[in-house]
Amino acid sequence: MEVGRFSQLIAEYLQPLVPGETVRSLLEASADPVIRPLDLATLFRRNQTYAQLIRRMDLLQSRIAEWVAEDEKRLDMGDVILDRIVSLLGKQATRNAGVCIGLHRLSGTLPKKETDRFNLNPQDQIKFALTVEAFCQENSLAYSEKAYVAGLHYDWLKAIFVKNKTSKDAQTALSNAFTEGFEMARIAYDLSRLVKNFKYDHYVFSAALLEPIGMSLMSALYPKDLAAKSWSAFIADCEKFKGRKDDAFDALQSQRFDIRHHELSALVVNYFGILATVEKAVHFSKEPHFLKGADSDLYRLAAILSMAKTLQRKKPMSEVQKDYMRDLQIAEHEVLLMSEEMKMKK
Amino acid sequence: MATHLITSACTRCDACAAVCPTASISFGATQYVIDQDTCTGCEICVTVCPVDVIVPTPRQQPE
Repeated sequence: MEVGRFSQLIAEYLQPLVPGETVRSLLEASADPVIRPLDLATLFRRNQTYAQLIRRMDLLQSRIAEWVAEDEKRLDMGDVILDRIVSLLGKQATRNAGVCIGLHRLSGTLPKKETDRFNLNPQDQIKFALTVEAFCQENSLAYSEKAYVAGLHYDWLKAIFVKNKTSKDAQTALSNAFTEGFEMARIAYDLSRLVKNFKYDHYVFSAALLEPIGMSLMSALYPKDLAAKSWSAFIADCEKFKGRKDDAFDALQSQRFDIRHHELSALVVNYFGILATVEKAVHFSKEPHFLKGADSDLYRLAAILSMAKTLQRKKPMSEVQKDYMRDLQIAEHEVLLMSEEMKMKK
Repeated sequence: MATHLITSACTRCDACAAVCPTASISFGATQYVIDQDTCTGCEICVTVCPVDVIVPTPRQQPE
């Protein structure tokens, strides 16, 4: 994958800080309906940091004291407590706790001494992941667990930004990218419902959510040798093109950064290593036709992303995108209707 | 990368956590623990442990 001058920077910036094996296994296991909550305890036992820190949470200390008092002499009390905590919390809360421990680890805020307090705060630490998961569940959208994982990419990247003392500009760009991705994800999900016999429907929401994430990295690693001094100055340059600012945004990205934001997004997904299918679709979301002969379902996923982006920007479909619609057997009037409904909602 | 772990004979002296270059050692529920995902196996903690309780992780047998 040719990704220009950013590839080396990204490797140095992201690679040492992406989720470790325990968090990745936890996400995979918690999304698997066959896996029971107690199986997650087994997973924690493979890494004692997680097994012990789950038992360290301030929130559970009074309850744990009661359990210990029941049978103080029991030698395997640590394992019993872990099993009971996981059963008590259930799969989702256990997953959240594990992920938050991973984020504490990344931020260097794990307890260093016996007397240090240890609290998990999922509502703050994994805000993006919980927002999209709650949205999917409240609106009966399928595959909320995949949406959660996609949202977690934003939370993790936010923690990396904080750790690396990245500029406020980048943190704002991350929030803006999430807002854009969230909007795009809802559109992409609606589009995917018009496509019949689609194998990758479970990746649509997460792929669309992640499409803009690369913009925040462009901002974080903004090259100092460019004409515009910062990412926000670059955006301001694009705004000067008024009616064609989106086209200018796409063209100037290639010209100035030697890479486009969705290619960078694909790289982020690649380094996180959890959503491999999404990575390919995002990478080809501007040119889905490259996938046409190789993998027809991946082509359809990338085409949905391409169309969702256009609808999110409130632009008419291009001739190429009309071809995608024909390939996907989506009637043009249905997309027009969607577009009108979106305008009405606005 | 799972390389080392701290056994239950840990005396909680804090020597290992202070020297870990990747901040992989933290205090868990009852003792110091090493994050198996981030430990690089540099063994600095092994050299500073006064009671020699940091040992290599037993290798898993191939299935």
